[in-house]
Amino acid sequence: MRVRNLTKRYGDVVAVDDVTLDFTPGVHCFAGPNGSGKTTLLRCLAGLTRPTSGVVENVCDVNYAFQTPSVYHDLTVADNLAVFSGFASEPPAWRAKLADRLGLEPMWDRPASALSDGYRKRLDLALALLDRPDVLVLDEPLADLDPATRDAIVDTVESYAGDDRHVLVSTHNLDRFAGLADRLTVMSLGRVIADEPRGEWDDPEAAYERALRAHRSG
Amino acid sequence: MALPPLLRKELRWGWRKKLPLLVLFVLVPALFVYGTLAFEHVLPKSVQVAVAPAGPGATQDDLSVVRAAVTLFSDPILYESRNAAMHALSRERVYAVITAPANLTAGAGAATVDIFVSGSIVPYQEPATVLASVADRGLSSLLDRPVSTTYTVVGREWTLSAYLLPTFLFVLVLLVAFAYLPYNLASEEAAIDRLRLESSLYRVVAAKLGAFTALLVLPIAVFDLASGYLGTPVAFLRPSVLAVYALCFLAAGTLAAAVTVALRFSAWGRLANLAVLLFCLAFSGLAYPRGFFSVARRDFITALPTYHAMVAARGFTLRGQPLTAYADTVLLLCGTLAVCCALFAGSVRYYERGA
Repeated sequence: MRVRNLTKRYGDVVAVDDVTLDFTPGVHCFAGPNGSGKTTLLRCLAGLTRPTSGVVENVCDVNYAFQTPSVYHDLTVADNLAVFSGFASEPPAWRAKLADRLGLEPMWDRPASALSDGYRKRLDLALALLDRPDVLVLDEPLADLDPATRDAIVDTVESYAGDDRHVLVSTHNLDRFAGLADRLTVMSLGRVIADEPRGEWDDPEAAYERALRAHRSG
Repeated sequence: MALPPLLRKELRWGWRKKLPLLVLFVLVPALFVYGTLAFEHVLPKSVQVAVAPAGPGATQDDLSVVRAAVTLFSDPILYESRNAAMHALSRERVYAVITAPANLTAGAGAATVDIFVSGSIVPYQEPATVLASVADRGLSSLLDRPVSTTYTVVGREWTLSAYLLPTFLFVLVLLVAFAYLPYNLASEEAAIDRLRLESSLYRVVAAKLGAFTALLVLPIAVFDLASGYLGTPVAFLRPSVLAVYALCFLAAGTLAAAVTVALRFSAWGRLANLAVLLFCLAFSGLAYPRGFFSVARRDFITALPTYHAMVAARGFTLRGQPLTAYADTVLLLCGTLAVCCALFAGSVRYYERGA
């Protein structure tokens, strides 16, 4: 899976500017200030956004946990899981396991509209994992969540990563992924300003700050 | 909080939203005013009626004098034969048939002119009696012989309430397509990204249209059963009726989905669909005969597939005509559906370019 000279413009705004990246299995974190193009890049990779130019080469099965959960608000947790299981080939036991791991059972019969933000995020992640995708994209998975929900999501990602799977995480909470991240890509104004595997850094937060400082100083 | 800051906020908001506000408060009212041109009079002066020879002996002069006699209250069209004129009546291309007898202008003694109206076009029954007296008086003044008119209702004579049933069902179909379906689609906007990932917007809308089309069997059955229960049984549960309403719903629903998707599931999409709904209700000639209000409206109505669908629906339910009698209408609706599908495909492309 890779992208070549990927550019995405919205009118005069260049959201992603000539990005070339090769992706390797493991947890790949994307960091950058707001509006740096992380989400647009990941959406292009998932096929949700059409690049203006450049190539996305992807033969993998991608699924996505969205920053704003993409669920049916008027359906219950159980119904949402049942509906989206229809697109997946995994057995019902996997659905039950996911619900258990993400602590969704107590909310089973509640409509998604009646869930807290945290539980909607959990549900969204469960939906993204239903078909055990080769590539799991997480867009700001921990934003505005309580510690218990953050732990549930990070634990789920940790157990899912590995087995040659790609987990791409766009996040401002690098500290929570410090133990998991295999690679860190830093973006600013649509461009990749640093792309380093674990080994070139110990603390991803520090690596991110360093990359931004270096970029600003030219 | 004091009022002035809130009013200033409204002003700022208004300035930011000047284009939609211009559409809502200037363009739409202007269109409403312009739309009143379609209602020039309340008497059916421009309704098309057929003038045809009663038999082989009727001359061009005979037809012309009948035509001249009814011009005041209708827009007469000459037909070569009585059969062709009666066929036009059964298709609502004309709303009355006036037959000119042989030797009307050349002969002497009393003559009779026959006027035929369809029992399925209830709103024209009373105007048709006026038409008969207009013809009576007009012919008597134009000819030097006594002329009387006979008035015959062709087919089953329906009540106004029975006549309105197919119209109300049509309104319901349009309401579901242009009001409820876009609302339902927009309410699922949150799930659209996931659905695009797992499936596609095409399949999402196709599934929704399929489900709603199947659901429409329920109101159609209700119309069928309730009309029977109330003593004016109208046969709605027929394949031809189901086909015409289903095709209408599919075309209207696809158009509504195209508008919803093109306007990114926003409130503007719902407003635009509401405008399309009002337009269809006002300009499809659903209840009154074409030409009842103005010539401009009559010609405009004829260009709309919804008008032709309504005529076919009345043909199937009130006149008991077979599906083959409206094969051209079914083809027109299929063509309209194809155009709506193309518009939907364009709107999906537009949506995905900006996603």
